[in-house]
Amino acid sequence: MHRFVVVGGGVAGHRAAIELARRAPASTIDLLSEEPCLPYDRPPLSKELLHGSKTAEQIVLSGAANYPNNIRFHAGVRVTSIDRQRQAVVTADGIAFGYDRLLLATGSRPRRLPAECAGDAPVHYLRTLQDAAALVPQLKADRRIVVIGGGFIGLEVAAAAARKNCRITVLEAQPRLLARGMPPMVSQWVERLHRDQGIDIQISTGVQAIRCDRSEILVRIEGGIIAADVIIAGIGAEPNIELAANAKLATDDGLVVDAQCRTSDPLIFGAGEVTSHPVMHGPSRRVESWKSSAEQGTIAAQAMTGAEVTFDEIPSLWSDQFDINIQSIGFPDLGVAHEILGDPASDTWTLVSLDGDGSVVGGVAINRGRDASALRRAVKQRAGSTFMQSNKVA
Amino acid sequence: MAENDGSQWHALGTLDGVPAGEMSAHDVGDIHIALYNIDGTIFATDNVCTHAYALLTDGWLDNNIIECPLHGGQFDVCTGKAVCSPAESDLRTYPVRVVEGQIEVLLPDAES
Repeated sequence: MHRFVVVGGGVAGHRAAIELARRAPASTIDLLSEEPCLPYDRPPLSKELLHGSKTAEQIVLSGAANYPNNIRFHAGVRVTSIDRQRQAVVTADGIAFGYDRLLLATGSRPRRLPAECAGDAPVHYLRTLQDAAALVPQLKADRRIVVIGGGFIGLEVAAAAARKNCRITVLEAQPRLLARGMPPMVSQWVERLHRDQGIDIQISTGVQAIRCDRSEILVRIEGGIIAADVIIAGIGAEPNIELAANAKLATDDGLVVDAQCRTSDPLIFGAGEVTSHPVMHGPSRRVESWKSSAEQGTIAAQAMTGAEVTFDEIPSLWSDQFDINIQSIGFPDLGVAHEILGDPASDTWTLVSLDGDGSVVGGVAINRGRDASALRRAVKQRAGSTFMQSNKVA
Repeated sequence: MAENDGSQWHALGTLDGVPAGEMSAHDVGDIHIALYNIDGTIFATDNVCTHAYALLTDGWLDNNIIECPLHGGQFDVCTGKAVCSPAESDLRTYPVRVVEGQIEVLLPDAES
């Protein structure tokens, strides 16, 4: 087995390529990326890159600038179909890459506002380096920024824009920020954090229409019209499953894979944000977590080269907003009971989520990194909450 | 006492001050150092994570693996090697010796 093809130049595809090269040095690995640049780190796009403390060169993923000889990296290549019979993927230019094993790591794309809502108005989305490069010059002092979507991306963009002294309004359609995935107490705390920094947060506020008017953009909401200079939308991510679905691979809000990263085709594997995979608690699901994507890429490569492995990483994500570090570990939204460590009126506390048996299913650590580490272990071991109480925490 | 290349041994505390399984933080000029006692042997690394600005001694030490408190990256404190993402660049390590119960770390010349 010597031909590997990896579709997707994000962290999962990159990590997989490196692991494949390491485990199968006599093979060739074609890493195909739709983006016109070397694989890079996405989390800084909504943080350091926006407020200028990092450059594009500084976020290239480690190892990408000097891949080993058996990795052939192809930038700006869009794969348009998979020919499972022939065992080849075909690109938009009609070039076929044959494979013995194929990895699909096509990631996600930002969900777009409906066309009838956004019209011709210029709305920024933030997923790629190009998106970030287009946004940076727009974030100037005193410019009126409207962020549509109070999820992690929207809130990080708001925090970065605040550092540039923009005037910011965040519009969230749900009754609270971070409604998808965070317990209400965390939503409320984060809302207070942003309000204290002078950001106008409007919850239960959907956008009805966006229109351009001479030199400004008008956002119509139920309560009136907001005039803005820049609109940024962070309203969720959709998995890029079209390639897989068209090839008749099983998809269900994501490319369906098992714990060994296998799709419904024994020669095709999946890794990263595009996949819907088994998790410790609840049914298979998509996980939007950099760390999960990175680890899954490595595990998929190991499985593709014959190792007996299981991808059972506990989902975890981090978000840095102002000088606050938020880490979500496991499944904090699946808890039926919560315990709090530290003082939630301060900027350092932890919410521990427990299931009906009193086992830790997840948690959110706010400026308490040691608790994040403890949570990871607690979830993995199905420990009770005393595990969290008894650990040396900051 | 200076070595030939200008690097110097700095006394950073007593062996008793870092029990087995624990770590401590020290500043020498602009350098932040972390000391770890792994089964009786002391190791020293930079205390600032290579992934983002965080002090590793605020994190979690599990045997010889230190987990950064900010984003969960991990390093082997004996070798400095980044062993778990998002940590990718290895940590700088420093030679350690214990002289009459005093922990000494060899740090480069201030100008180097």
